[in-house]
Amino acid sequence: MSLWNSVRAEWTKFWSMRLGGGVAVVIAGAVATIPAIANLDSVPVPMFSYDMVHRPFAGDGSITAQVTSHEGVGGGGAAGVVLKESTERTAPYAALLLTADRGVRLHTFRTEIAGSLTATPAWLRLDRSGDAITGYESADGVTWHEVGTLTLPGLPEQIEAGLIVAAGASGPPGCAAQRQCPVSTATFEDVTVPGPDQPWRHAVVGEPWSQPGSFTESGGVLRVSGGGDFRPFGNFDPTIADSGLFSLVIGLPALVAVGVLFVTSEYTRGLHRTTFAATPRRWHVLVAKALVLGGAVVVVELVALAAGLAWLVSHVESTGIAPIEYLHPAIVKAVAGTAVTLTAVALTGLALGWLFRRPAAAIASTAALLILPAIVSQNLPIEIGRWVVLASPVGAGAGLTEPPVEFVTIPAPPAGPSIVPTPWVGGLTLIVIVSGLLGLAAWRLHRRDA
Amino acid sequence: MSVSIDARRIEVRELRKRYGRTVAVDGVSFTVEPGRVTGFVGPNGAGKSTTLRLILGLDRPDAGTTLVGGRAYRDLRQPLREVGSLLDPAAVHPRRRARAHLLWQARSNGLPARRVEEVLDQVGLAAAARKRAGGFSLGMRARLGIAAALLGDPPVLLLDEPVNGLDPEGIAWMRGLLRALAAEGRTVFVSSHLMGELEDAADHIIVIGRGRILADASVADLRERASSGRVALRTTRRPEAIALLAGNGATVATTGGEQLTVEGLPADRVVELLTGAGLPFSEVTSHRASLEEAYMELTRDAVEFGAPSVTVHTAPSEGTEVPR
Repeated sequence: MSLWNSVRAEWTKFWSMRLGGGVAVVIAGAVATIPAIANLDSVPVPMFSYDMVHRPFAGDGSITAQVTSHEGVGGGGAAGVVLKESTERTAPYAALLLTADRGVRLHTFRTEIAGSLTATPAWLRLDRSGDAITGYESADGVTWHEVGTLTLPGLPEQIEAGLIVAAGASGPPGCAAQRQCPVSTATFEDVTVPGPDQPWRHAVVGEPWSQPGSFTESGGVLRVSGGGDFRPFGNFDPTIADSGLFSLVIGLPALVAVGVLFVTSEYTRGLHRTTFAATPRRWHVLVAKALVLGGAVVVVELVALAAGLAWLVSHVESTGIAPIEYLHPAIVKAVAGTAVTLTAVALTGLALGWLFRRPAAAIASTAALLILPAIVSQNLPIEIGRWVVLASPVGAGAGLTEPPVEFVTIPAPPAGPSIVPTPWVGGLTLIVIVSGLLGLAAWRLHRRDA
Repeated sequence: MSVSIDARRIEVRELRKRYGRTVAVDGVSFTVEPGRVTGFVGPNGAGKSTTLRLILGLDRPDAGTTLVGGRAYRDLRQPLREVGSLLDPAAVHPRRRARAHLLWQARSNGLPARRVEEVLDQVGLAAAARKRAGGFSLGMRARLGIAAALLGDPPVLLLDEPVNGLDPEGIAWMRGLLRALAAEGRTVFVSSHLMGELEDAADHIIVIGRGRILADASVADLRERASSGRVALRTTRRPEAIALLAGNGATVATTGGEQLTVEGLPADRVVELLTGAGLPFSEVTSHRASLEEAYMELTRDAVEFGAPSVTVHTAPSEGTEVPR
């Protein structure tokens, strides 16, 4: 009860400090977010378009085709079979492709499963069973090997089956208008699709960045030519956390200052004696200040980060290839992790404010704690450096703010030792740092003269 | 030692506190009773503020105890309801408005927000409630500090130098307020380094110097003690009179103009000596000391940083005016 009174008192102090309190947190939050938003223009938005020759496909069944050749293909090019809800850019799909640079891939928006074939001829088959689509490859049309299975939740009964071609080579600007962009041509044989025989139709999927392709059919052989690209776009970061690590650095001083000054502004004016005369149980004041500051920073940062994310989503969806799941667990984790890390930084400033009482000493020591481990760890072997970097709340928080891996390759490429801690290690370290410093401050506060 | 049952009594027992090598409070004991204004007087550095901080649980004593209503301040859960205090009127956040400055203190002890308006009214700051404390004059800050002390309607008030820096109107207001609070039965404990500030306000005086209690008496007693055995007179031949009287064992002080104050000789002996030496004199009276004089006398040896006294003579020398 009495702790609740202290929280109300500290909240009153917080908002009534004007530029020293609540407003400063809002500004710090905005400062931490604005550079991230400004950085979004440099976020790599993948070039993603391809030509698709398709016909309707109902219920379960398979599409099979042999890619006998693919001429004029560049590094990001591919040819293969596809099952797709519609020819809309964002419609769910699974494609089994012979890519120019990485062999056979079972592919959907952000996931690729590697096959084993790397050259023509390649027999490719997609088999649908409900929401599950399984890819098979064969070098001879006799012996088949399963590549993997993708699940497309909620895939309707009626979808499109088809053939995909992407050239994977870019031409000079404006080549599309002059119909002079590079185009590749793939030859498909033994194409089988269940159901009544229907005519093939052509579509360009995604933002066309070359002139539309074309196709010819004669005696069961389809020759499809197309532009476009089918390059996996790497670890594209749909949160602001990544470009944010830079923005974090800009927002940090403001948060450190808010945390430090929330305490030291009382000491510099002698106001702390009024506080402790009103609340002799000093740890109540310490806990109340931490709750008020931490709560304010978490809320402000979550709002600022969510606003930045919303901006990014609209930005990406206008040019990108896939709908972004706003509440994807990985995105939620990165946003929440960033807010938690920034809060830990503010609370570190608060604790050091209690310990040093003077703003200059507290700010300097907080800055050293945030920066020094990162600098030192870079000059150490990674096996040691990855532990040294944990001494900094920012280094530990990196485990929480690491952006989600957006493009999954199965099997995953081998990962080297990383200086970024796992979320568990990072999160626990943050808790240890902040609660340790606050505990030390409470102990000193109890024993020292005011 | 009797057990205190009065919730309004302040008790200080054998209090000691040193900061590094400096002994700030050296075995201080006293009791502050309710229903009257008790002045706590001593030169700068005498240990007044230290004693008040120790009573409020802000600093830890090296030895001794302080009790308010029989309990240690640190054990009070909602102390503003029991003890109102003012330590430093300048201790405000300059950007915080007066109302918010009081509101956070009210919140900290679960006091209703309406108490803020009430105490602002009581100290005459209602019109400035929404102004930032940074723009307040010294007098307004003192009123704001008093308002904070009154928030919890406490039976005990501890005020450190509340009159310091006030203009005459402010001093008169403060004196009236202190007397009114004591008349309501509260314990009012007020420190000052100038006895004159408390002249018409305090009923009881505790004098501290160099960390020790020098006097603990009612104002009337103190005055009488300082006055006893003193003789005031006028003479046009001051140097000769001083030399003569000092030579006969008196302590002589010049108190302005042709006025002399003689201590250590009865009045008839003074008259006899001056007459015998043929020195003119007039207006021989038994001296009635002001509180200030009583205080100066008590603290003469206890002034920590004062200039050496040049106004009191035990041997003949050039008389110097006593600054009043």
